[in-house]
Parts: sequence; C-alpha cells; structure tokens
Amino acid sequence: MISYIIRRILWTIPTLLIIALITFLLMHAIPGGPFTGPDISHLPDEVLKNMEDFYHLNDSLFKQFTEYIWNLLQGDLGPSYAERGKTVNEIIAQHLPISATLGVMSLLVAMGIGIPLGISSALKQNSFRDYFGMFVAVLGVSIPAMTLGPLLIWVFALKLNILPVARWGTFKQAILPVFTLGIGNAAILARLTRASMLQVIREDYIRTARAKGVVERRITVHHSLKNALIPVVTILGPLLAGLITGSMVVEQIFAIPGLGKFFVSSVLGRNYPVIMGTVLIFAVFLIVANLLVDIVYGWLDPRIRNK
Amino acid sequence: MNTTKTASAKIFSKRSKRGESISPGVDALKRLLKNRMAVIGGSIILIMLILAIFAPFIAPKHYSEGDLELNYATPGEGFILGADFMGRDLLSRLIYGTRISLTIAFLGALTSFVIGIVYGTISGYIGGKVDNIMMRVVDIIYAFPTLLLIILLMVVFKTSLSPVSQGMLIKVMVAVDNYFGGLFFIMIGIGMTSWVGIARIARGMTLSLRETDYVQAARAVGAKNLRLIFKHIMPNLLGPLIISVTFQIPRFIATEAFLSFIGLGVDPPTPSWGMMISEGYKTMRSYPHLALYPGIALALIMLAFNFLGDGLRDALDPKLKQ
Repeated sequence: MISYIIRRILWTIPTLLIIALITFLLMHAIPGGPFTGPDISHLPDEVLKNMEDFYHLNDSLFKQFTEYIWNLLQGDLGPSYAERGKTVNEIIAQHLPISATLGVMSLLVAMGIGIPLGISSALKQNSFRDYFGMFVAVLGVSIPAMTLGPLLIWVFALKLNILPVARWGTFKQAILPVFTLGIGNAAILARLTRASMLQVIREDYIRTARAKGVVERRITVHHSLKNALIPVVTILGPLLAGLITGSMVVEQIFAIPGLGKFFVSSVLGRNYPVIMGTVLIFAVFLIVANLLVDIVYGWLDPRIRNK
Repeated sequence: MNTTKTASAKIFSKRSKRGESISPGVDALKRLLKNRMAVIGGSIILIMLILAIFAPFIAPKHYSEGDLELNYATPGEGFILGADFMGRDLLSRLIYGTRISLTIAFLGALTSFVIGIVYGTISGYIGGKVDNIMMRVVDIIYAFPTLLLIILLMVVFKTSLSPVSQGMLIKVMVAVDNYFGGLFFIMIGIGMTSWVGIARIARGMTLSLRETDYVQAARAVGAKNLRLIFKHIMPNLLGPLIISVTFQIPRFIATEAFLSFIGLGVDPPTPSWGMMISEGYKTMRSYPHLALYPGIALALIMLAFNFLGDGLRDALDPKLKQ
C-alpha cells in the first residue's frame, strides 16, 4: 500500500512539471509582451523596457522558465498585469475559498440526492420507480449548468419570487447556485450507484447473507451498499473536474465572486498570468484530488492495492 | 417514425420466415428501433440535422441580420421568438445554432474515433517497446485535466494565431477558422484531447484479440499484418468503440457551448447556443426567454445523444443489459 502511494505521488511530479512547462510555453507563445497590444495605449519605449526588465521578460526563455518553476515551488505565481500591485496569489487567496465553498456544498447536495436515488432504483429494478428515477437521471445528465441556472432563476426568483436572483453571502443566495452545480453530478452519481448496486446484489455473498436469514434492510446497508459505493468513490475525481468548469458558468450567471468568475473575466481581459496561474491551481487541485481518490479506492478495495 | 418501425418489422418477419440468418448489424438495428428512448433521441437528432442542413430555407432571417432599433423585440411582432440585444431574430439564430452543435458532435466523434482506433490498434498490435512508449504518451495526456488544456489551447489559438503571423500552415489554419466562425480551433482542441480514451479501449481489445485462435489461424494460413488488422481485428472493435464515442458526443457539445459561453469559442456573430446564453442571461429579469430558449435547445440535443447512446449500448452489447 505504501509503495503504491509513493509511486502515485512520484507520478504526479512529472505530470505537474509538464503542465507547468506547457502553461509557460503557451504563455510565451502569445506574441508581444503583456504591455503591448491593440487594447493598451502606446507606452514610451523607455517605460516599456523598464517594465519588461522589471518582470524579467527580456531574459532567455530557459532562465525565465527555471525562475518561474523556482517561484512556483515557493508558491509564488507571479504578478497580475491588470491589477497594479496585486499578485496572482492574492487574487487566488481572495476568490478560491468562495469557489471551494460552492463546490463542496454542491457535491454534498449531489451525493445526498444521487446516491439514495440510485439505491432506490436498483432495489426495485425495472419497476416504475426505477424507470422514473433513471429518466430523471438522464435528464439531469443532459441539462448543462448554463441551461439549468437561468431556468432555476426564472422559476424560483422571477416567477415564484422566493429566492434571490444572484450574488453570494447569505444561505438563501446559495441555494440556487448550489443546486445548479449539484444536479448534474447527482444524476451521474444516481446512474453509477444503480449500476454498481445491481452488480453487487447478484453476488454470492448477498445470497449467502439472505440464506442465513439476515434482515433485508441489514443486507442493503451492511452488505451491498458498502461494496456498491466503492466504484462511486472513483467517479468523484472526474466529478471535481466537472465542478471546476461548472463553477465558471454558475459563478458567472449568479454573479458570485469566486475564482471561476474571475477566470472568465481574466480570459475576456487577456490577463495571461492570471489565466495561467488559475489553470495551474485548478490542475494541481485536480491531480491531488485524483490522487486522494485513488488512495481511498486502494484502501477500500484490497484487490486493487495488491495488483 | 412509426412507418419506418413497421416497415423494418416487416422485413425482419419475412426474413425469419424464410429461415435466413440475421446479420449482427441488422439484429442490433432491430433492437435499437425497439428502444423507444433511442428512437425519440434519433428523431430529435434527425430533425435538428434537417434544420441544420436547410437552415437558409427554414429560418425566417439570416442569423447576423440585425436591426438595432428593434432590439429586445418581444415575441410576435415580426419575430416569432423575439429578438436579441442587437435586434437579431432569436428563432433564426437558434436554427442556425444546430449547425454548430451538430458539426462539433459529428466531427468530434469522427476525429476521436479515427485517431483513437488507429493509434490504439497499432499500439496493441505491434506491442513491446513501441506499445510501451505509445501508451506513456496516452497516460500523460490522460492525466491532464482535459478542459483546462482545451482552455489553454484556445487562449493561444484565439490570441496568438493572428493572420499576420508567419508560416503558411498557420495562415491556412487561421483562414479556415475564420471561414467556419471560430469552430475549427475548437475542433482541434477537442480532437487533441478526446481520442485517448478510445485509444486505450482499442489497444486493450487488440491485445487480447491478437492472441485469439481465429487470428492465429488466419496468420497461419498466411494473412498479412494489414489484412489481420483490418479484416479480423478492427471489425470486433467497432461496436464497443461506437458506444464509447456516442457517449463522448454530449460532452463535445457541452464543451463547445462552455467555450463559447466564456468567450473562447466561436466568433460573433456565429450563433452558438452557448454564446447566446451568455448574451441572454444578463437580461434575465426583463427578457428571460433570450437565455431560456437556447438553453432548452442545448439540453434537448444533449438529451437526444444520451438517449441514442444508451440505446446503442443496449443494442450493440446486449450482455451489458441486465
């Protein structure tokens, strides 16, 4: 188990390095410096040179890259070119907690809805309940956040007038964005839980438990559910990836000052260091999450760990 | 749809009366047509395909034709579904929008499928060191957060590859991209990242198929490598790979909509549903339909491909259906 974890952790190092390299190269593939371009008023040559010297933009690419990596290792993502005197670190520290809160809440909602729905469908396979549950799940998988967000706003904020349209801060304001972000994942979890549950309840040990006279309820909770949820854990990694992109849309629609919204405005404002820094943070976050998921998976299922 | 259903049912009953064997393809099609959800999904896609192909004849106006004095016109007054912030007809833009989503769907599937099957089969068939190296490449791409990579690529495509940049290839690419309203680079972004899953499945299956008795027998009677690959191995890969690719399609559509939503997708005035939503949600209070209709269209096409994917899986691989 320990060697498995170490191997996985070691694998993340080259992956992160390559991501950093690609990020860096792409940043420099953009022609012109950050202070030249059609959107920016023309600067005197001396000022331009001073600014480029200040940000070390005239050094060799190799030197710039090693410096970028060195700063990165110390947790420094560099300055933002748009907000004077603000670093990318400060921007991330300010906006990331909001996105993280939104993401965790929506994941809890997704698990709270998806897993029970999947179990209830699997326990009564091919019944009306099953078909209805799975129809709702396909619907949930197919409706992207950018459709659901405006739809929920229209119904609950504009027509029924019971929830606020946008912004962030109070519990009531959190409900619509959290559900917008959570429902798609709830649907994915429901489909997966059902499929995995159906496989498990056909296993011999379930039949054995039933033959021993274990109460049906106990079989569901202790025997089948425990094993059925193992594959569900693996999907949490990819789900997180979906959360990041989803948050970009949801934060934009609901005017939530999270990292996703900030990312979108940086894209529109061509603020390259912020774009690259944010992408890098998202990538690290995803890779660590996937690593954790794999470790938990190996811990839950001894057959994987011993391979 | 009903007529095709009965017509095909007739053919099948005739065949079985004569005692002829039914090919696996026809058998799968029969199962697919029996699946109500798959038929609904297929019909929606067919309708959208017709809208996309004949958009200039069906749409009341051209998608970029706007009248600023008529901006936000309510549904009815000359605009069936109203007009957007630039006075462009919403219905026409929705109809032309099918072109974007379906192009991404089919070209994305094709790219992913072709690269994936060729790469995976070669890797699995040759095996050894080549296989090892080829699969490490796949592992690295796989470890990447796909969407972030696409975002990075799009930032570079959108900003650095301007027509003034040197190089014939880039000039041609930029020209093609401009012609397709920014769709070309989205395709490249999606194409570069989506084939790895397909390649993995193709490689895994090739590895085991290579060792089967019938392939060994074919080799023993003198079949060459290419014949073995194309005649004996690839046909067995088609079913599972078609299923996987179909399941990728809703994701391609969502990716394009997402990129266009955040401003890295198609160039205005190309009518992408994602871009229409991003233009529309800002005026939710007064004109909610501007964001809702393209949203519904987007959900509908994704739903249709999901239904079709589920149906195809059940039809092509009955073992999976419990």
